Amino acid sequence: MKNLKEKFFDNIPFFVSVPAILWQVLFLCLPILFIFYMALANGLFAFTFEYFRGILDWVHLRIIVRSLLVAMLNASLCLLIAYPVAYFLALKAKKMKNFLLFLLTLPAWVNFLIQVYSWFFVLERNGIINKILLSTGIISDPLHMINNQFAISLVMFHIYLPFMIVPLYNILEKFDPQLIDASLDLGANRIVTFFRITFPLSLSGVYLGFFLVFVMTFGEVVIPMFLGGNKTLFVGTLISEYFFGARNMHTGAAFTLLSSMFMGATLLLLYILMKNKIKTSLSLKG
Amino acid sequence: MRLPIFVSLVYLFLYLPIIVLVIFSFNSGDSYSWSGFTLQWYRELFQTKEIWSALINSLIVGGSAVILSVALSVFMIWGLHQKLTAQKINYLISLFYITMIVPDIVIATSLLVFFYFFHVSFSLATLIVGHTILGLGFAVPIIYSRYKELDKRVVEASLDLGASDLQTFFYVIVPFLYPALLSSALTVFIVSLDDFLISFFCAGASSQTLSLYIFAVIRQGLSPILNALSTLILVGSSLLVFIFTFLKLKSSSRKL
Amino acid sequence: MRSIRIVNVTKSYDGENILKDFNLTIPSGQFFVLLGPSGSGKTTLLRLIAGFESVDSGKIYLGDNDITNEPINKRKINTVFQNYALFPHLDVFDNVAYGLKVKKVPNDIIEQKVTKIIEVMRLSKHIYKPIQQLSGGQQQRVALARAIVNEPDVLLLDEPLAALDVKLRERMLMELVDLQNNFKTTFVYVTHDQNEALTVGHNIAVLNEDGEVEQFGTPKEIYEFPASSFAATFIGTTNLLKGVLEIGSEPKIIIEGLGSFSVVIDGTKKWASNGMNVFMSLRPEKIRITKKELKLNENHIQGKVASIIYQGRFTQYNVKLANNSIIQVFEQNEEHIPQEDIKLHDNVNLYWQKENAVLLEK
Repeated sequence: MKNLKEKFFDNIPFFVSVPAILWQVLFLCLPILFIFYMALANGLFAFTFEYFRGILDWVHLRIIVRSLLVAMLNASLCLLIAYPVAYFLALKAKKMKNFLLFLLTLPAWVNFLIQVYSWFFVLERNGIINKILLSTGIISDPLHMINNQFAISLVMFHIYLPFMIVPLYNILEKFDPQLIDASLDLGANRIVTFFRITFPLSLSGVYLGFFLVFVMTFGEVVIPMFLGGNKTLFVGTLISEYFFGARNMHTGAAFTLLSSMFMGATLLLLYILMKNKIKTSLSLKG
Repeated sequence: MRLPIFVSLVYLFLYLPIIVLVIFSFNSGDSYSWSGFTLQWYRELFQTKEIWSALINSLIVGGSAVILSVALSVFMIWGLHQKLTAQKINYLISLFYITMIVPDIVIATSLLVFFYFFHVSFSLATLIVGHTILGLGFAVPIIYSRYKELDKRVVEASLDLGASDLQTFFYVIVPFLYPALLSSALTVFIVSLDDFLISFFCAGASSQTLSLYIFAVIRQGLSPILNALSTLILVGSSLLVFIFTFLKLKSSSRKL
Repeated sequence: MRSIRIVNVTKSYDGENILKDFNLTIPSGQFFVLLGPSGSGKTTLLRLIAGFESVDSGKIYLGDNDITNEPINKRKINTVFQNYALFPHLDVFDNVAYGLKVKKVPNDIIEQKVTKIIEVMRLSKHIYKPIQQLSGGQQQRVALARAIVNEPDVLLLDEPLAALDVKLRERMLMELVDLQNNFKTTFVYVTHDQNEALTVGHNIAVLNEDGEVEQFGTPKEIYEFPASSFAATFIGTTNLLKGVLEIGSEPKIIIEGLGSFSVVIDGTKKWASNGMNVFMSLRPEKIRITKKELKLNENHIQGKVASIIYQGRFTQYNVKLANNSIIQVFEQNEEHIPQEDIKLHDNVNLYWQKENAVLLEK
């Protein structure tokens, strides 16, 4: 009797840690496997490529490539703009740091849909920007800034910029500023110091931020839906179309699988390229 | 302390639509042109019943997702820390990083397919399931990375002084994790409130959350009630964050 | 010329004034020590010389060159940091080669110089290892090599040995002295440890808490002839006795409750006047302690042993005097079995020569 009781208490940690893992497997891993299965099968063990054949055409590929390009562009732009901001927050801002960090997180509270929606006020024909430009006479016709690629890219940049700033900030915060002193002391100027010391040491944050923004931009649904007019030109919106009303689920699944493969391949390629380039530029062996 | 122009411009850019939104919540017309100051939209907001039931649903889902995500994460980490080496724990934890690799739309549609296949009817419960998946994707990394900062010798000291594993967990480990628990709770809550895709695909017809309500309204065209709603949320959340920061400062003064 | 001249430098930080009209000349080619308690501004001074901070007013010269406004990376000065500041993403070789690499020295010369200095530092076995794999002492040597390989005019060392254990510290100290001897670079060594200062310095500048130079001189000068009670108590231990100066036929100090004792007033003590309050600094090792009364023509006090602390090389006696003050006495343990056995609560006699005490104004 005692033995059983002891065994029970001994194994509590196991019982207690399983739910989370079970949950993750059951509600994330399994469903994704389902989708992959649906892309390749027509019933129980009836494997088929018919769904793939249905989507391996230029129309679909064009959508995937466009999404990849937009994701790449957005992630790069975010990186370029976010880095100086994160650098300033982590290493330079002293008194205002906490307040600025707070300001950074505040927009997250405004619902995502509403944030996208509020860009209408800014970009529309009668919106703020056009109003200002027209009234000051800089232009004579209102600019067409909505329902096009420009609006989509701009808003994607706006929404995902904080997602790039935060990981960069986190990694730069841990940076030892004395390393900059040491580099300057040894004769390097500030630019060389940045490229040889600061940037290489912040790489894990760069990868994380770039990765996050890339993935989220690639699968984005709402922004192209609201601001792109009524066209389905992106991976996210197309997938959503396929599954809406639970029609065409197999084709949708196939398309999802195909897009994911493209996305995965692109990221892997980028990662390998970056790693090699950085290794060679840092190597100081004579 | 002067702010570099670049940083100021970026912040301005980040806040531009929000500022416009707030201003127009007081606009007496419902177009993009300013036609005078009014509080009518706030009044209408409080009279629109659907918003409040949607809000309640969102809060229920959000709250449940938070509790589930944080509790599951903490218990998992405690359970693992007792039985496994740091390296093995690392492997298991990477299971939860998958959530970040998968775009939201894929999570949403795969859950749709999954529930559809098992003939599970959509409701708030299915939504809570989906949001907890999202939540775990944030809570596990946040709490785990805080857990890694724990000096194991403190745990040894506790055991040495006679505490049981359970007592050590509640008296030593959990208080140390406190800031991570708070910040992951906040993050999961925001993510849940903000979520649209999973709500769209996995909620039942009768369970309308805030995001779904907003979506419906936007589809119908311009509505300044949304402006009023957002402004209120903004003010409310600023207060919440102030309280949160206050709590965080208080807890970080207990350094282990 | 590799001397450093600091002329009328003032520096404030966050509203607090650290250095005011500070003047100091660090001679060329020496092992120079900046000694002082925390907050004395010695680290600030070092940072000003290196260029990490700029002066509010005043000038800094390297040899004959005014380097006051020269940026950090242009000065022929290198720093060894307290916590080494080694670049974590580079291995030992790349860390040491960094300064040469950024100055665009040709690769074959880099290879040559770096391998040589790593050999001198006895790190050849670790040359391509990531720095995280090295011990504290080894990392210290990498930091040194990284700085020295650039052959600077001046090498600044900011409490570089603080993180090492005692035995390692002693050894590294000797290595530093050898290095300085070999390269003849001006070493400016900052520390709050007066033992280190006495061991290595050719010259020492003692700074007090207000950021002023309390005294400048060789270790021996400062130890034997401190200029103030601060210098006397900061370096080594001493007994400070307060009394009134009497200049009559023979100068004496009158200490309340204890009597009068002969002192020596030399030419440097121009401030000495009859009847003024003075301090007498008497180092514990200069006092002889005996149970027997001796007939000596020396200053003499009686007291009772309050505590005894055995220190290996010497024994410390804390002796309580008639006026309830305590005097410390060090007696070297010359013999295995001492001739006289002094125990707790014994009544003892203390003797010292008047030349061995130092008269201080403040």
